[in-house]
Amino acid sequence: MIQLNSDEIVVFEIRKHWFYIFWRALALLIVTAIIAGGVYLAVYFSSRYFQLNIGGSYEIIFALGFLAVLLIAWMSFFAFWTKYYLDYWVVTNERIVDVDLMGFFHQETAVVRLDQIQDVTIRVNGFFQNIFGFGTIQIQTAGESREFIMPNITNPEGVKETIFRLQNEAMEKPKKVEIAV
Amino acid sequence: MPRINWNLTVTVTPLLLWLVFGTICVIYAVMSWIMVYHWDTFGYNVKHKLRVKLIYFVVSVIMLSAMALLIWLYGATLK
Repeated sequence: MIQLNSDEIVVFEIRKHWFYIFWRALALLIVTAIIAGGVYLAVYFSSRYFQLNIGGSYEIIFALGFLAVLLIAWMSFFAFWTKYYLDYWVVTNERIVDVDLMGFFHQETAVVRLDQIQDVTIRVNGFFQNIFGFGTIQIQTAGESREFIMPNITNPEGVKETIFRLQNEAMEKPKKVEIAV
Repeated sequence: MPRINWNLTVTVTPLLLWLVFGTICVIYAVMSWIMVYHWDTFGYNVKHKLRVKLIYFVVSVIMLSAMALLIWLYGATLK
């Protein structure tokens, strides 16, 4: 969790659109079905050419194999979900914090101050992004890393508006100047 | 055309199945530990974490129990 400054407040947190995880879940489901169906069909058709005697019930062995594949798919789904859940952006009244889980045991955090933002670009590209209303936000900054990218964000237009509003408020707010005496 | 017909005998013993099951359980335990570590260390919403853990472990335990039951059933049908 990020450390907030004394008068800093979290305005909102944002994640990638649910479509990101749905797409991976669907792909996983299809792969699981293909593996299970493929093995079943392979056993069914190969039985025409050779007889396999395993000593017990084929149905039980097949059900066991299916359950094993299902368990692996279940774990894989939660591995995807972990990546989805731990990749997020926190927008405060002072800055935007990008918390990114690059892989297991590898988390990176990048910060851009609102007064460093020079331009915000939205890219909504393709059928699904237009239908479900998500897209990529590119933030050009005056800082060291010139570009700050938020891919597959829900409601990018609304996020952009809020960022601009917060930036204006941050610019108008009088800055504290500490003078050493 | 001569029809190919092979007779293959591969004996699948309950012990072999228990060994495979044990390997799956070890992989499951390691993967679960890694994921729970990440949820607990980097996640911040306690309600989310509890709900996800509940769904993940309940469904996994059901699947693992079903597998154990099937292996036991397989052993029982051999006798």
